[in-house]
Amino acid sequence: MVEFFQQVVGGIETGSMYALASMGLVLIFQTAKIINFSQGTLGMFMAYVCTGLILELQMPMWAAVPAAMGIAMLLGALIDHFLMNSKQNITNLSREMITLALIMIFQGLAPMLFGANETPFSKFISASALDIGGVKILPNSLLIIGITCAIMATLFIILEKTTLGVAVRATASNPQTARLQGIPVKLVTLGSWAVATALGCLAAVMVAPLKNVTVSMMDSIHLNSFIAAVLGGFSTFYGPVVASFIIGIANNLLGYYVSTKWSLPMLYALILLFIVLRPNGLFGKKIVKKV
Amino acid sequence: MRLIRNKYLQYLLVGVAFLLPVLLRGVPTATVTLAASMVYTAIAGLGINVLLGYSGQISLGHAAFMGLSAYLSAYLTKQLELPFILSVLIAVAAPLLIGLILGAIAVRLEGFYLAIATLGFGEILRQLFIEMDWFTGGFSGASATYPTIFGQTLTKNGMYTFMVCLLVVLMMLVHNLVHSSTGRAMIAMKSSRSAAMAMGVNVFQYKLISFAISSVFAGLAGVCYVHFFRHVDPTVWTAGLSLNLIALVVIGGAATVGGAVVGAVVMHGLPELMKEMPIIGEIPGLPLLIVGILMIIILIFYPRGLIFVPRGIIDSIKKRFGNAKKGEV
Repeated sequence: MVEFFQQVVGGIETGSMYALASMGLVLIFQTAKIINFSQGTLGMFMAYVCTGLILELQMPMWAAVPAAMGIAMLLGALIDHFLMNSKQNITNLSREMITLALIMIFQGLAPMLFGANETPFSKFISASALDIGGVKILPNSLLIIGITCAIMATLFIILEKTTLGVAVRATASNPQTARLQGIPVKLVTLGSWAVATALGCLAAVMVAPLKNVTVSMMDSIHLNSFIAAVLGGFSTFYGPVVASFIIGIANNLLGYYVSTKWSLPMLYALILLFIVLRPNGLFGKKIVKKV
Repeated sequence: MRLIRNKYLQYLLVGVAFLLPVLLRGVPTATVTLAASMVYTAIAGLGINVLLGYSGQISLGHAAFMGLSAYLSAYLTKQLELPFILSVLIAVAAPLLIGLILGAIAVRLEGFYLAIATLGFGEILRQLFIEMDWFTGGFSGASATYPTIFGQTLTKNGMYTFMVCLLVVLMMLVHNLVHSSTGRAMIAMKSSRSAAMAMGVNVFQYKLISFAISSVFAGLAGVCYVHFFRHVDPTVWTAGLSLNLIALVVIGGAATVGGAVVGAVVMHGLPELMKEMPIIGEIPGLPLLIVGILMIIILIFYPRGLIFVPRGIIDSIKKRFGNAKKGEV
């Protein structure tokens, strides 16, 4: 039973990273109606920036991470303003392809600016593991889970309780109507891009100590955050977050009790089956299109 | 003028243009290899264009279909020593079957759910490629030979010629398809599912057909890949390749027959061109960066695709010419 909880805690930790990334995906999807394929790559790039801040500018970790998130917000806002809203007549599919081109740009920029070597990245807290009833938990993992929960809680409170949240939800449900109601839809999507990029940056900084900072460090997180967004349902904000934790935990449990090699394919197969049975995800509602 | 407008002749000309590296003397073999990668992606892109451009569905699993066919063909010709034609048929039938199953799933899924479902499916297949090493050779990959067709063993140039011929035939077939009632039904389904259903289009049937066609094309592309490069390993068939296929269709021109070919040439040609450039090619990452920027420029300024660029230029010249005439009068 101790092992079970050990796996669950590990799952919650990776689930937190998926949750941050998929929250970013869903924010952009809901307000701008596009999938941001470059989410993972932007996160990777920001992790490089963060390492640069620490190593070159000698910034302490607690200052470098927020600084990198600030830069990420700016970057996201710039992308939305100059690329996504540059012209009205390009289709959403073309916009998604632009995010694809962004992958190339930042995968090219990262080795140019920061060198092609893998860079190690230290943990936030390097203290040794706590023992809670036999389950070993690193303080760093607790911090990751804590930060994620705090950010999710803040985002949900903003979305549900504040005027800003109403503006975001109105934009999500119908941009045209929202604009007629006087909601600055462009600002809302700009803000979503900024927050989403910052979330991607945070996820990347959390992954960095586990995988080193490399060009491909975010690939699996990015892929799983996609799957989480679909499993939870793209049409809600909380669905993908719940699904992220489910995927993180289920992957660990399948890996421990069944097979490490096959845990992810099995999980994908289960999710595929689930999506076929419930095409709108765990919490998604079917949007009936009226002609 | 009328002869040039003939689509079949245009496709043949495309084929001849592709054959130039083989026909001309003194062309380095690297050029043939580059052209071959253009041709196999163009074949897969044609299929994606039927799926995305004409019937409006997204799949991120087609790279895995290509891989499946590549492995199957390598296995059948090398280990079981089946004749090339027979092994191609089997190798293409497998993705067709999977495509039909995915197509049946696709009926229930819309847009992004479909994209991610196919993505997950592709990842499962890719994991199989890595783990089933008796069949795929695991990480080190499987090898294949140049095929023997009707007793003739093809050379590298021969295999390339075969691929170009296949591409031309497939372009003609797609042209015929989209101008048939099936094609019209697909286009109707893309623009409005509800309206198409109201007009009596069987949406289920046409989604299946478009999935089947694109899977077969992906399979053929995989077969071409494995018998030209004579080696296949699991690093190629990622979701990134599927995304690239979609990107090249959009860049070349969605819902046009030539779009996939133009897109494949640009998407493969540009990075190689950048790598060959004197200063740019020496800095790591810079070629990729420039290709990315060019891609964004194309997407923003030519949202309908590069294939419409010549027509746009002709139109603007005509306009200017027309204005000048008016000025004279």
